Parts: sequence; structure tokens; C-alpha cells
Amino acid sequence: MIISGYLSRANFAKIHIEVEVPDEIYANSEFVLKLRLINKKRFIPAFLIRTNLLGKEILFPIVQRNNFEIGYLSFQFPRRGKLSIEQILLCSVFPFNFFVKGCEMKKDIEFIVFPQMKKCVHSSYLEHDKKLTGDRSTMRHGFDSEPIFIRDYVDGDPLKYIHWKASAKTGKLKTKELSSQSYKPIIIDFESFWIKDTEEKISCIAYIINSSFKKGVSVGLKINGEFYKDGISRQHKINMLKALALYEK
Amino acid sequence: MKNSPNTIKIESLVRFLSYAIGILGFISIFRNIGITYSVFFASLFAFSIYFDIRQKNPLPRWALNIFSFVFVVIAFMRFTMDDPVKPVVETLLILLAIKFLEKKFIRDYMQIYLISVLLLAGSALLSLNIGFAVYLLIMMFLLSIAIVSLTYYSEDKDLILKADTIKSLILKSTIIPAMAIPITVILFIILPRTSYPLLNFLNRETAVTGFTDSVRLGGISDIQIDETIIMRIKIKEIAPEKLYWRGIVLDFFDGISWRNSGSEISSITETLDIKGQKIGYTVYLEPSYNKYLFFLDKPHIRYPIKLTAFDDLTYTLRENLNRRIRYDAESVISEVLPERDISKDKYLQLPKIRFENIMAKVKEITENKDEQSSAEAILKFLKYGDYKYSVKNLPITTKPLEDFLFNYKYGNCEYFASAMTLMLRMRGIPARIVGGYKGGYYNAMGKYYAIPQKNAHVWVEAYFEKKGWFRFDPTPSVAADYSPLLTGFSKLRIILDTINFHWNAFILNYDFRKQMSLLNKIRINIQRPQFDFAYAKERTVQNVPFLIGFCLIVAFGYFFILKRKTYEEKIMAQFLSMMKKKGYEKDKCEGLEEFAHKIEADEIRVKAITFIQIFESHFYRDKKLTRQDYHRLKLMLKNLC
Repeated sequence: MIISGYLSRANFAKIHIEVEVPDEIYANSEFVLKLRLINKKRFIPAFLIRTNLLGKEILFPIVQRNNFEIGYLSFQFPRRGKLSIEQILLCSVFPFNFFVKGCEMKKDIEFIVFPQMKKCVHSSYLEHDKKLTGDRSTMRHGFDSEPIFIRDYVDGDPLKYIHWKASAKTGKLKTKELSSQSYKPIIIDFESFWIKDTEEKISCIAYIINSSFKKGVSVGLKINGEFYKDGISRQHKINMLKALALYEK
Repeated sequence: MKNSPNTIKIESLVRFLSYAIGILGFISIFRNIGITYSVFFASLFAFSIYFDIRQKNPLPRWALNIFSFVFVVIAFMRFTMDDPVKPVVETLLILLAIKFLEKKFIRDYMQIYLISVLLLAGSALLSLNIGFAVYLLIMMFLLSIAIVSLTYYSEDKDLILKADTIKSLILKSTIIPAMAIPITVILFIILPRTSYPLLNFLNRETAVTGFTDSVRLGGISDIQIDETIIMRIKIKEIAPEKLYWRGIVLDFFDGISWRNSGSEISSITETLDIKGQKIGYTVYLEPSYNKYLFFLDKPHIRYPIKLTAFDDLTYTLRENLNRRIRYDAESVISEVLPERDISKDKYLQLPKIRFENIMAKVKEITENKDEQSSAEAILKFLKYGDYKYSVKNLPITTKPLEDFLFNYKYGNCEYFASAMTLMLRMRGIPARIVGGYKGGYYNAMGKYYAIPQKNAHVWVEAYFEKKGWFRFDPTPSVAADYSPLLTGFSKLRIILDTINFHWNAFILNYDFRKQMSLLNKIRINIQRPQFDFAYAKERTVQNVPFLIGFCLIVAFGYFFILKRKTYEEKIMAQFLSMMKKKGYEKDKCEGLEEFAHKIEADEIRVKAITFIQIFESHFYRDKKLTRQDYHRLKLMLKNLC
């Protein structure tokens, strides 16, 4: 019993845990938290440590001395908003299953769950908008517009972009490099957005922001008296999604 | 995860280790049991390995339990006190084989380990040799690895570990016996065999003189300032004036010292007819380097330890006492020892030196008085006269008694007792000196008397015709405090002395050699059992009430102790059962919160999450649920309905 108690205590010595939270977490979408259990003991491994994070558990059978092990926990949160991890509970029945030794690691991790993305009628807004405003060619590569130059065919290039004339001339398959089209920036005004239900509205706007970002459409947002000028950077997207996530929270 | 060549499933490791432990248990007793049992075990063991590999269970658990029960009953019928070990070991072996046949859960593996250890212990009882030490060592290492592996298994039954992890696990598990063996050796082997007290610093490192065959006047005065504890007596508290611890009788006086002229070895076979309070007790006597044992005056029975009993109710060991011993005794608290025939000459002996002054004094005191009144008068003269008690500057002269009586007028108990004995004898009353200890302080915490050396005391016994020996204590009682009140630092000493006492008692009660010789005797007497049906039937009938009692105790233990669920287990079982009724069943590998979040009905989900959060706030902080917590959670469950 004495030895069991002693080993159980020693097992938890110099144990640290780190949590890696992904940048983008969306409500009702599964995501993974990465846990790194670090054993800083010089001579002995850490055995059989079970961690409990936000009610989910993962077992680390062994962490070698001066080493670490990685574990993943998948989560899915139903609602948008701010969440925090204040503690991680570690417990172990090592060595004899006589006692459960527990240990609480204080943490101060905050993260934001972005709104659930819901494809809404407004998602056709982009196409509709494009037609209204007309295309604008850019020097960015794409498959949308005028050829910029011709290059050798690479596996995977769509057949419709093969420049048959040039291919016939050179005897080699050639592909047309076209310019991508850019769209007129979209500015979404949260207050005047046409969906009434707040959550539905937030989900729809989040979808528009995300899909616009994928297409390279510059998006801006007016919300809660703040104005996010249109842009296409990832940080810009995250800032807007944060604003949506924390709306009325 | 696929089980690649470099990985091992934890279940396989646990199984393998249990086979190894079972085989080790079997090997340890193989030579001492009947061949039938060995063959039976080996066959069942082989079957169980086969079925384990095929992942099948040949018989349901209940059937195997019935078999086990039948074997236990058979063992019970064969059990006799003359041959207790072998049937038990053989039955354990069969139970082990049956255990291997079962579908094994964690508790079954634990039972396999336990039975194997019991088999190994049984082997020590059947034949103790060096092989046992080897088996024990291997068993300790195997058990450590097995229990650690079983802990892994209990956490995740499907866990697959890399060979390196297993290696590390095995290596680190060996630390446990490596730590346990030295501690075990210190606690259970070395210490109980040493007579050295744990708290030796309590006792002063002085050579104990104590009583010898002769006591020179003034000779025990050194002892009388020595606070070393000479003995401790486990006994209920008695009035202090009744505490005379009898050890030695001195009958011959040469004018300066008293000695024992040779007491008669006791010829009394029956108990003496002494009237008074009868009391039993246990004495823990420190090494005194003499042969005398001490008993509460008057010892009543003859004792089973090797000693010589004398007619004067004293007892000696055959050799000087150089180690701590314990003995049980019984005494009758009485001032009178009825004895009819004594050698009067022996107890009327006077030294060759004439003590004219003393003689004259005796005449003066006892003139016209009968024997008993004379004795009372002498006692009064010494005890309540002009004489003072002292242990310092004693009259150690050529005529110490005369100097004591007429010049110094102070002395210790030896002077008072010697003077009275001499005066009684001068008056013609047979008298003798009894030496021992008086009083002692009662340790209420440990419920024992501690007698320090300084309580060494001598008193007088005078013989009156047809009445017997009467005790007289002429030493002024106010002078010598034999039952001191203890305060302050002494109280701490009492606590430490209590610990010391219990430790000594533990060691002295732990007579390994005696146990081993008894067991050896049992072993020699063991005969090959012959099954006598009629005898077995008779014994069974006789033992049915005991068997029923035994079964009831086992059942009680199983249901009320082993099966008793903790508050955590109870409340969680209730919660899960309630959820199940509502159509939500928790998956085995599912976390509680994860489970709760899946509940569709909003109200139930919210309540369930709150319940789980409160439960987990206790469980994962290693806090036990109190009765109040349990009832609070139970109330929450009621609201969930």
C-alpha cells in the first residue's frame, strides 16, 4: 500500500499538458483538440495517465522519460460563442488499481466557436451579383477569363483548356493559362440583412463569408456598429467570423 | 489498430502472466500433493489454455461455481486438525484450475493471483526449504508485473502496446518488489526477531543489578534512584497499597547481609487455599541478569514456562535472564499466606554477633504481648516511630542495624525490614524478608503497570502458628512514593512508553520458532489421506452447523462487504439506469458529458449535464461523495424523472 501510494504520487511528478486549439472551430462541426502530455522526469516514464478535458477522456498508456505523447480528442459544440478550458483533469490507477490518483492542471485557454455555416438563399447572391456588376479580369491565374499565356500540358488540366491549335502546331499538348475573374467586393450589412431570425442570419452570413473567401471575393461586414472593410485575407475572415460568433453574447 | 508483430495486446500479456503465476503456485506444492490432484490440475490447465486461445468458455460460470463449491465441501469433510494443510492446498489447486476455465474478468485474475500465493504459502507449511525463497522471489516479481498489467487491462481491455512499452513496463514493475522486499524484511523478519526495543533511548544504558541471592544492607539503594523500567504488567488497575511484586525470599542473616539459604522446591501440586481477589495478568520482564521472576503477591498457580517453583511462592528461571520475556500469571491479592508446616529453625536464625541493644529494645517493646501483638508493636515502633526513610548516606558499617536503630535513625527499606525481621526472630516469631517491587505507575493509555527499578522494595513476612505468613511492611509509606503522579514531560514519556510496550508485546507474542516447530510437527504427522466414507459422513453431520455458519459468513462478507457499492458507483448506476429507461443508453467508451450532450430532450439534457458536472466535480478531484452529496445527487435524479 505504501509503495503503491508512493509510486502513484511519483507517477504524476513533473507532468505537463499542453492543448492545441485549431484556429477555426464551427458550431455543430466536429473538430479535433490536440493534447500533448509531457513527462519531464529524468529517469522514469509516466504510466497510464487518463486525461479528462471538457468531459472527454483519453488514455496515455506510457510517456517515456523526457519525452511527450500526443493524443487527439474530437469535439462538436452545438452553439457559437466563447468557450474556455480552465482545467484539465488527470487521473491514474497506476500501479495497482488500488487508488485513483487525481490531479488538476489549471489552464487558461479561451477560444471562440464560430457560427454554424448554413447554405442559404443568399448564397446565390454571389452569382446574381456577378451578373449585375459584370466580370473584371485580373492578372491572377484561374480558369475564368482570357488566356494569359500558353504552357505545356500537365496531368490533370481540364480538357476544355487544351489549346488545340497550339498543340497541333507544336506536336505537344498545350494548355491555355487563363486569368481568374474577380468579383465586385461584397459588403454585408448585418442589420439590413434580409433574414429575420438572428441565428439563421448569422449562419447564413458566415457561410457567405466563408464561400466568398474560398472564391477570392473580397467581403466586408457591418455589425454591431463596427465596420470590417472588405478584404480577402484569412485574418480578416477570422475577425468577421469572431464578430458574428460573439454577436449578442 | 492492427496487432503487428511488434505489438502485444494487453489481454494476452495478462493471460500469459496469470498462467505463469498459476504454474509457479502449482510447482511449489507439486511434490507434496497427491498425483491425482496434479494430473487433474494439469489437464484442466491445458484445457483452459486451449479454450482461451479459441476464445471459448467450455462451461458457464454457475456450473463451475457449483464444482468449486463441491470441492470446498469435500475439503471440509477431509479437514482435521491433525492434517490441516494438505487438503486445503489440494482444494486450492483445484479451485485454481476451475478459475482458469472461467471467462476471466479482472476479479478472476486477482483470484488466480491470490490462490497461487496461498498455494505458495501452503508449500512453506508442507516443506520449508530454500526452494521456497526462490519461488517467493519469482512470485513477487511476477505478481508485480501482473498486477500492473492488470491495471492497464482494467483501463482499456483492447489496449495494444508496443513491445518497447511492454519492456519498459516490466522493467519498471520490478522496482515494486525491489522496494517491497527490503521493507518487508525490515518490518516482518528482522525486527520481530530482535529483542531490541524501538524506543531504547527511554531506557538508560545502565547495567541492571536488581536482586541477587544475597542482599547487603544498603545494597539496593543504587537501584532505588534508578528510573529504568524493569517490567510492565498488563493488568487492570489495583489499589496502590496492594501492589507488592514478589520476587525473592531471604531467610539467612549474617549481621550485614541477607541471603537465601535454599528454599524448598515446591511440592504443592494443588492450588493454595488463599482467600482474596483473584486476578490474571501478563508480565513483560526486561533483562534483569538474574533468575528471579516477579509476581503480584501471592501468586496462585504453577506456570507453564520452564521455571522452578519454591514453597515460599517464589519462582526462578533455570538461567539468568538476559533477554526480554513475557509470562502469564494469576495471583490472589492477600497479605496472608496460609501455610501449616514450616521449618521454624530456619526462620528463627540469628547472626552470631550478639545484638544486645536490639535484644533489649525488643524485650521492652514486646513485653507481656502475644506473638501477633508483638509483631504489631515492632511494626509500630519502626514505621511510626522516630525513624526516617532515606536512600542517601546509609549506615554502611560493621553493625549497620544497630547504627540504624540507635544512631542514624534513618535508612531505606532494607534497614526497616531487616530490623523488623531480626526483632521478630528475637521475640521468637519466625520471620523472613521478601524482596521485589512495590507499586508502579499505571499507564491508563496502555492499561498496564510500569515498574521502575527505583520501586525495588523489601518487606517482612512473619509466621504465626496455625495462621500462616503475614505480610508486614515496616518502611514508612509516606517516605517512599511508589506510585508517583506523572505530569508534564512524564506524560510524554508515558505515551512513548506505551508505544514501546506494544512493540515489545508484539515481538514477544511473535514466537516464530515455536510456530515453526509446531508446523513441523504437523508436517511429520501428515499421512496420506484415506477417504473413509462413514467417517466423512459422521464428520459432515457433526460439522453441518459450522458449514452453514461458514457459508453465511462468506455470503455476508461477499454481499455486504465486497459487493457493497460506493456512493459514486450507486448514484452513477441509478443515473444510467434512469437514462436507459428514458431511451438513452450510454456507450461503454463514451464520456459522460458526451453522452449527456446527445440527449435530445432539452430539459432532460440540461438536467443531466448539471448532474454530471456536480458528480464529476467530486469524482475527478478524487473527492469521495459524502452521504449528503449522495442524497443531493439522488434528489437531482428524482427531478430528472
